[in-house]
This record gives sequence, C-alpha cells and structure tokens, in this order.
Amino acid sequence: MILCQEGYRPGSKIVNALEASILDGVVVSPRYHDPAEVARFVGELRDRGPAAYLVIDPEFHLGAVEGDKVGKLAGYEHYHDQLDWSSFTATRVAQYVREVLSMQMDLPLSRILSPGIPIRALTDWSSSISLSLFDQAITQMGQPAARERLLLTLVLGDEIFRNQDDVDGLLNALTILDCKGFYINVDRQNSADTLWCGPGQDVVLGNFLYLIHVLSINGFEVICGYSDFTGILMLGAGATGVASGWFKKQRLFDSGRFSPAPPGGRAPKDYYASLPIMNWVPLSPDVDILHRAGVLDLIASGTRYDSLLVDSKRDERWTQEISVHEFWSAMKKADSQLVGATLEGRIAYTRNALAVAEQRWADIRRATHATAALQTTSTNIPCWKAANDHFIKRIEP
Amino acid sequence: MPTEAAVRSFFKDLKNIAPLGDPAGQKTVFACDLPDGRSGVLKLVALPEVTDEDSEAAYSEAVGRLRREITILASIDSPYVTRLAYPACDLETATIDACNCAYFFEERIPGPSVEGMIGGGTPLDSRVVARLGAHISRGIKEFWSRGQVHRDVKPANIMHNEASDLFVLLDAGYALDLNAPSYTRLLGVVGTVPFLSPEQLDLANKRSLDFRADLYALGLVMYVALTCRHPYIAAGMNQDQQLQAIVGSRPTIPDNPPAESVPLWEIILRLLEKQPHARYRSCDLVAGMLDGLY
Repeated sequence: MILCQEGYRPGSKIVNALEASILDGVVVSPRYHDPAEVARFVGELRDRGPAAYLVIDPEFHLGAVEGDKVGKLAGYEHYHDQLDWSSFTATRVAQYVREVLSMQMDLPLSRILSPGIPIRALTDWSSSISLSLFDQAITQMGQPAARERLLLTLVLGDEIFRNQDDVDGLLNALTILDCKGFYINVDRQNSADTLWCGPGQDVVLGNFLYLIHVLSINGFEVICGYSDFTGILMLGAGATGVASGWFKKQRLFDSGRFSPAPPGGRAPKDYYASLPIMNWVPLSPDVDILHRAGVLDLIASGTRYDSLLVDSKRDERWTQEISVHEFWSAMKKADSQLVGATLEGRIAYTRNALAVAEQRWADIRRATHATAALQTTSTNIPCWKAANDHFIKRIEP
Repeated sequence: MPTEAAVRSFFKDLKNIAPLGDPAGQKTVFACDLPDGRSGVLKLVALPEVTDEDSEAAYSEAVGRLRREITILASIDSPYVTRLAYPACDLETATIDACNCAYFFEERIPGPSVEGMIGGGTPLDSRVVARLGAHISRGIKEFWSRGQVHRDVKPANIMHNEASDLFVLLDAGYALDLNAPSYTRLLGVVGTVPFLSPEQLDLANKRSLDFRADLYALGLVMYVALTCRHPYIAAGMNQDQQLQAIVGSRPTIPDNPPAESVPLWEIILRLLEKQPHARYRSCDLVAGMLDGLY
C-alpha cells in the first residue's frame, strides 16, 4: 500500500489522490488539525475513499523529544509534553493509553494506533516503557477481535539498527505481542541525510529491512512511516504499506527537527520523482539537462505525468500536487509488482530495481559526459544495494 | 534411592509396581495400579539429606520445585498435558529404605513414549509426526497461557495415548514459571542438552524465555521422529561440542524427502530457527498449520 504521510497544507492533494486511486490511504497527523476538526477531516477522507486505509498517528512520542514545534498537537488531550522516565507510573501509562485510544476509537479509521515513545536502546527506560505502553494498549483493546485493529507505534532510534543483537532482542520481544501489527518510524536524527545513505546507514537500513521481514513473516501488518523511495526496499522486505508526503519532512522522520531551527528546503514542486533511479530530480537544471541530452527516458517513471516534463508550460503546470501525485504514482507502480509476490519475487524485484538504477546512472553519465551540473546524485544506490544485500544475506538459508 | 523392593513394601496399597525406565538423577518413576483401580505413575524423588545450612537450602528448593510441578499440573486441564492422579493432592514425603523421599502420582498414559516408538530405528509416518506436533504445540500453549515454559520437551516426555490417539506432554519438573521467583540453586542449563533451544543456553537472560523455546524443542522432536536421528548432535559428541552445535549448526531437510512431507519439513525448519523471532508467534498458528497435514 502507498500511503500519504500527511503534512502542512494538504489542500486537495490527498482527496484527489484517493479519488484517482493513486493512494491507498493516509496517515493523518494531528499536528495539522484542531482537535475539534480532526473527526470532520477523517470523515471527509472516508467519504472520498470508502476503501482507503486510514489511520491517525497520535504523535504521542513527540512529547518525549526535545522541542515544541508540534503545531496543533499541543491542543489534544492525549498529548503530553516533556515526557521522561518519571512520567510513566503504572497509573499514568494506563491513562496515556486510554487517552490515545479513545481519541481514535469512534472515528472511521482502519486501525487504531497505540502510543509509543522513541526507543534509543534496548537497555534503557525507553524500551521498557514502550513495552508497558504496548501491553497496556493490548489490554485496553480487550477482545481478540478488537486487537485485530491495533497497531503498536514503534519509534526506533537508528542506533538500535547498528547492532544485530539489539535488533534480534527487539524482535524477540515484539513478535509475541498480540496485535494486528506495527506502525514504525525510524528516527534518523539527521535531516540532512535525505537519501538514507550516510556513513554506516547501509547496516542501519539493512537491519531495518530485516526487522520488517521478520515482523511480516510472523503475520504482522507493517506500516512504515516517513519512507520516501526507500519504501520500495521496505515493501520488498515485506512491509504492508509505506507512507510519504510532499515535503521532505514527511519523507524522513528526525526527532531533532521539532526544535526551533531555520526553515529550509526547496519547495518540492520543483522536483520529479524518478522511479528508475529512485531519487528526486530537480526540474531545473537536471530534467532540462537530461532532456537536452535526449535521455529523459532514463529517469522516466512511466506515469501519466511524464509528458508534462516536456510541456512548454511545465513550470506553471508542475504544481506541488502534481509533484507528489507523480511520486505516489511511481511508488504505486513499484507496489503493484511487489504486493502479493513471494519473498523470492520481492527480492528479485528490489535487486533488479537497484541494478537498473546503477545502469541508468552509468547511461546518464555517459550521455551527459558526466556533467557536474547535475544536482541529483547516485550516492543512495550503492548504500541501498549494500543494505538490501545485508538483509538478504541475513535471511538466506 | 530406595530399592524397588523397598518401594513395593512401602506402598502396600499399590499393585503391580514396576519401574518405568531407568532412574534419572534423583528421580525414579514407577508404573502402578492405584488403589481405586486406575493405572498411575508414581514419581519418587530422593531429597537431599539435611546436615547443614547449605543442604537445608537444597532440601527446601527440591521440595519447592516438586510442589511447583504439582501446582502447574493441577492447574492445567488439557488432553495434551499429563494430569495428576489426584488433582487436589499435595507433595508427600516419607523415609523409604533409609532414604528421605518425596512423591506424587500422575495418571498413566496408556501407550508408548515417542522415544519408545522410534527406538527400533523406524521413523514415524509424516502424518503421525504432524499430529504429534499439533497436539504438543497445544500442550505447550497450555503452559504459556499460564506464564510457564516447559523447558524439557523431548521424545521421552511425549506419550502417545493409544486410547484417545492423542500425544501428551509429560513432566513439568523443569518448568519455568514466570509468575514465581526462580529457584537459584540450579545455576546451570536446565533441560536435556540435545533438546535445548539456543536461548536456553543464555543463562543471563533465563527469565526472557518464552514458549518459543519449547516450540524449538518440539521441532527437534519432530525431526528426530521423522528421521530417527538428531539434526546436529551425533553420537560421541561431548557436552561442549553439543552446546556449540546447538548455537552454531543449521539443520537442513534430509535429501529427497517424500513430496507429501515437504510442507511438514518447512514447518520443522522454521521451528528450528535459532532466533525465537524467526519461529512462530503463537502455538495456535503451529497447531493450525499442522492440523492441515494429517
């Protein structure tokens, strides 16, 4: 499933995508809705997408990270700021869970999400408190039929994934929980690494893929938030759904960004999401360079939006909505090949996708004479290939 | 341990007392006819002689363990787990043949153990093994639903009840009860080495064990039942080699298995994954899959 990670100013992006079936569902963010308004918003999404997969990320975990840029979330009863280990007495754990669940319970949602807090290490308080929140959520959901709607919210610091033993320990604890599945955000703690390819990230991503795989073979539904193009690898590993949005902040979860910081980032309407190279390509200059070199097809995702790239009024027509719809459409193409496929089929797909990306980059360099004017880089591909290989090696007999 | 004759002499109201297998450690098991005419099993354990503070602690722990075993068995009412002969019984102690003993009675399962069934070197049919797996995974579930891990699932502890055609899990003597404090004197590995799961060797995290340790052992039992050989422990291996094999070896399907047994082998290999998370998330899931194979 390709899901929208809701962000600032959704406008008609989401409802139009739902109606056009280029989105399978939405992860709603309370940060962008007044408490009194969220029910109306979810109701509208349900009307526009009767079969859509709709969830609310309660974003309870933001109360446990530094910073106060939480938008309208602060007005919700279930949100508590400045959470630390002393905030989690048994009574308050029960209260937090009750507040988070009841906020969602009467809405036309596909799943109910538990609260979670960022887990930094398996040996510290964040881990044991997360498990307490999960146990409490399972208890409060009651009967097995109700628990079939429960997703546990996992917010995992990327340091967890640096050590295989930690991943194994975490999985051993998670895989016996009685719930439908997990909604997972990896706290990357580095907003600059938009391509998920910084030093050591091949191991982090590879171990994350392994975690997804194990949860999926255990029959859990796995929804990966803030996933961007790495969502393809996650779907290949067995994720049920991946969520991304129109801003970079909706494609990379970094708990550090909730602290006051200078605004930044190019408006995404300037970018084209290329499925073959699994990257965002700026229309100017990169798309123009490739067009002039006659190799635009090397990056073309094969969606209905491709023709706009060579439209004389492209810069007018290429709106933020078109940009994100093109991205979701490209992701949907990948998902359509992966959904229902066997593990072997999915591995073959991701291996091939990465090989294609490598080859396309070689062709691009040749066609553009390795021009330095291209802003897009290929640095993610070798890292993702190493990550995917790391994952595959781990599961091979 | 008291002699067989001394046991017969002490338990005058029991008939047809006969040892079941060889004594294991301080424990001896006898088949018998109970005073009410039912077939029973007498479990007799020699208790440590109390001579000082240490031996007194050892005595208390031995008695405590046996009481816990009785409590566990009394709490489970399942056709897949052996029952006490007298559900409301308590542990009895007596001096027999100058030996301080504790004892209790279980119902006798009419039929052979899995160890006995394959003792002649003839593997069991894959449908029988699937049924064995389905039944014992339900037995394991009974333990886990009470926060308990059996920790000693092995061919000798599984009986085939010929009257009901059900396989039954015996002997909760090594069961871990996560709702009760651990006994501290058994600092080493608990269980029978060839049927230990890798996580049972992690003594620092003894209380992190869950039902998946028992499912691993069940996978070994099923493997052995299908092949009459252990997947990675060979005759002549010393204990260190066996422990290394538990952690490091990777069981494989024997060459050219009959086509109809392939789905069963896939389940067995998954039960034998070294990491608990790579096995199955519930006993019901295992039982349900195996139910479809016989």
